[in-house]
Amino acid sequence: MGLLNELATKYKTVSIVGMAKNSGKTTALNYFIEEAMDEGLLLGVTSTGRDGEATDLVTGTDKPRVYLYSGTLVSVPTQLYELADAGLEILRMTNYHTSIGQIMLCRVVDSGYVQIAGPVNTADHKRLCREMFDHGAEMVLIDGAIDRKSIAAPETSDAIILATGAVLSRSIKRVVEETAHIVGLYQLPELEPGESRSLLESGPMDRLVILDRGVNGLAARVLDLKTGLSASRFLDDELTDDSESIFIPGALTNSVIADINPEKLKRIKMILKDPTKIFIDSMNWQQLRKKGFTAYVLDNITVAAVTVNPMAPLGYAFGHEELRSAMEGALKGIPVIDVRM
Amino acid sequence: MAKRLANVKTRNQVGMDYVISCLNIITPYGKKELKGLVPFRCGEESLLKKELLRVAAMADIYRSYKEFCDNIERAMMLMKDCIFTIERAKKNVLTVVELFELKSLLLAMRALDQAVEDGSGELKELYPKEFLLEDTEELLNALDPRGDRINTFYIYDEFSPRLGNLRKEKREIEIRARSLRKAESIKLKEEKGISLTPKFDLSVSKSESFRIKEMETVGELVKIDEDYMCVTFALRDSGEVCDLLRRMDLLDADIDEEEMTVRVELSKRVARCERNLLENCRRIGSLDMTYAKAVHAVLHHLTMPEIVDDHMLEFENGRQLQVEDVLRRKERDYCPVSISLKQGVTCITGANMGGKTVSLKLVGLVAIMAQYGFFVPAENAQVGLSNFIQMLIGDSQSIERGLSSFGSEMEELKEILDNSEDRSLLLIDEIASGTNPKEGAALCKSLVEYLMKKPYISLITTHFDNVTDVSGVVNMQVAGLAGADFTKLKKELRYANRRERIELIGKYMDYRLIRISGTSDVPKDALNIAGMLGVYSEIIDKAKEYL
Repeated sequence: MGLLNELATKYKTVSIVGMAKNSGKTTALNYFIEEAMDEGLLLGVTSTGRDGEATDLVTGTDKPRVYLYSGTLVSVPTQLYELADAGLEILRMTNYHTSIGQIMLCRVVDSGYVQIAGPVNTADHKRLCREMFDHGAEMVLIDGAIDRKSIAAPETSDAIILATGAVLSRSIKRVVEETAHIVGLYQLPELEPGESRSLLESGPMDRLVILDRGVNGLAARVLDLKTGLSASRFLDDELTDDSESIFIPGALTNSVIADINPEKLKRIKMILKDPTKIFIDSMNWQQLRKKGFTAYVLDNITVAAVTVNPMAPLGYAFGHEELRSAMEGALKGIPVIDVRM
Repeated sequence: MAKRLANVKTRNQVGMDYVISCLNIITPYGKKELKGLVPFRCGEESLLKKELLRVAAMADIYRSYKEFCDNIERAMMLMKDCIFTIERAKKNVLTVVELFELKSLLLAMRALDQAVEDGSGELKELYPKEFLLEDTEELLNALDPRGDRINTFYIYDEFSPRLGNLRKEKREIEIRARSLRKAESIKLKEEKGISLTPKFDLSVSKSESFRIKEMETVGELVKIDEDYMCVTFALRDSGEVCDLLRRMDLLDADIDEEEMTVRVELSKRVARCERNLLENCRRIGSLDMTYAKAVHAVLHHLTMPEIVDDHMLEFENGRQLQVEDVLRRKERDYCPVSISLKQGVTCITGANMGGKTVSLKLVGLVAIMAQYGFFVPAENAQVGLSNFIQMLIGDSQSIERGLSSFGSEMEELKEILDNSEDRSLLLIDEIASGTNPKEGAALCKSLVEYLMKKPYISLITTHFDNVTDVSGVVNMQVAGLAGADFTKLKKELRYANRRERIELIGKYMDYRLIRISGTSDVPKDALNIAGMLGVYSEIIDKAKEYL
């Protein structure tokens, strides 16, 4: 069974997310579309709508132009319909507006190039994916965010395919390290269902919460803070000997934990909404781990596969097999694909 | 241009804007209709009666045929504004998206007609004939060559036999070319260990110059692209593949041309149908508007006014809808008011907080709603059309224009008197109350005398004595607190907070209007009301001494 068919049995919607610009996201998207064609998988293809890029509309450089085979379901805005080289049957005019027109749900009748764009907000996106499944799609590929920092929260899709490549660094070691760091963060353990989780989920999700283990059992203490940024010293005061864990709804950066007593940091579980909230680089992260720092998330992100692009726009490149196998060695159990092969 | 019936301010103050904002208009055609809504003028009574009968019919339908109403609402919800497209079809070639939207509109029109078609005989009898649509089945057939009546669109093969053949040939060639290349690619991998992407190309980084050189020597490959980053090689196409690709390019051009021919033909057919399409859009607009009026009438218990030739206005149990809605939210009932007005002057006198201004607004609302072809919030309403309706309410102090409230009131009064003509309805609220009572009363009385001589219906609220003495003036008094049990009221007021005080007054107040014959002083309730609202008794008692 082909890779994509295998993924399709596990995940219904898969987002393709780039580690950085030029990490080969569109190349990866095209690769999987070809793969689906070869494996006879009926695809739906959409994109997380990115407003404000209408300037690139004419050249079509930033809107991915992909070659789609007949049968594929695709979302196309009205203004790009006439530019499509493929024959597109209009199935429905949706109510989702973008800067380049309303989104239409189409079926490719005649294979060819299409520029895709999708709805902007998460709820509309989910609805569109559901409609694609209703029309017979077996899997929906979402052309996700350009770089991982702007990736939407995990709810947009069941799993992601992470596109990475030489663009990250001239050193193959660094590329692998950085990628492994991100994949590691995405797969941080989810807070298991139980007392802590239900306490947090029943509380306000936009405030810092400390869970204390007192004589009366576990209790939640809601702080009047929405973010831990620059509040490190304050957090240190608030964390007592009884404190078991702390929930931070916003970003986790060095400034959040810098002034927390290392002893406390070791003892206390850090709980985050999802892994995209972590902005700590791989080196600092390793150091924290050594000090006994533990982090959990409410929702983690499944990485279905990693694609590597051994070429960087600056002109340097790595050996195809060298990068692929180094990456595979670092990411145990996750399929790694060279999209340039 | 004909003079307007009522200005923006009057429509807003009587509550007409509020009524309009409560209408649920569904289609863009209905919205257009609403935007261009004009009142029926004197002389158009028979047209107005016809419109009211249509509203009545739709209201009956709304009450009795729930499923039918769901169906037409659903059909109307699918309608987009295609007027621009329809007009464009005359001179230009429509795009695929435009054709799709037209087909959607035609299907929605068909669903609307179908709903009537499927209805019972009784429903067909009720449904106004004016809303039945012109036949557009032929155009729909043209846009739906498969006849499956599904709301999707594409320049389908069925549109032209030639197109179908061209596309079929192209697909066959595509498959043939791909399999030839695939075989070639497999051979290359087996023989030379070079594997290509599914697109049959291979990118080599410029840093690997030895590999670039190596690839350059491979006869099966050809350099197709080179940038600062890498060199891309592609499979060298065999003569057969090249021929196929060339043939495909030609086919592509033919297909484009044929698709254009189809679009030109379809656009012409749309243009031929223009008159019917635009007429249908107009009919859908008036259906939407009338249906919205009918639904509003049923939900707010409105009744059909009787349109009479004489200039008069009479109704029982009228309710000002905006105030009624505010009260309903507080779970309180509106106390309905009845009134009968003929040409001449009618004065409303009575207690403060007795609802005089609201009654004035109610009269304006009933008159304007009736004249715009709406049902009215009253029973047994009889309305004779007016040429001019204006309300003067003394709250238009204008700091910007340097006018005090009295100043702007006088300015507006002049404007009203200038504009009034035969069959005017003037609604004047406490005129000249912003100046000294002596001159104010004199001015008011003299105005009443002036208006008595005019062919207007004038309704004036006032607190001035003697105004009602003018011969021929009808005096209506708010029943007010006359019948209230004051000991009980006082007991309740003792423990009330601010909001509750106001509500208590509302509870004990009788808002109905009672006709007073003969001369009588206006009721003196101001001090009682002030006391109820918590003004110190020290002040109130002293004031009573001064009376």
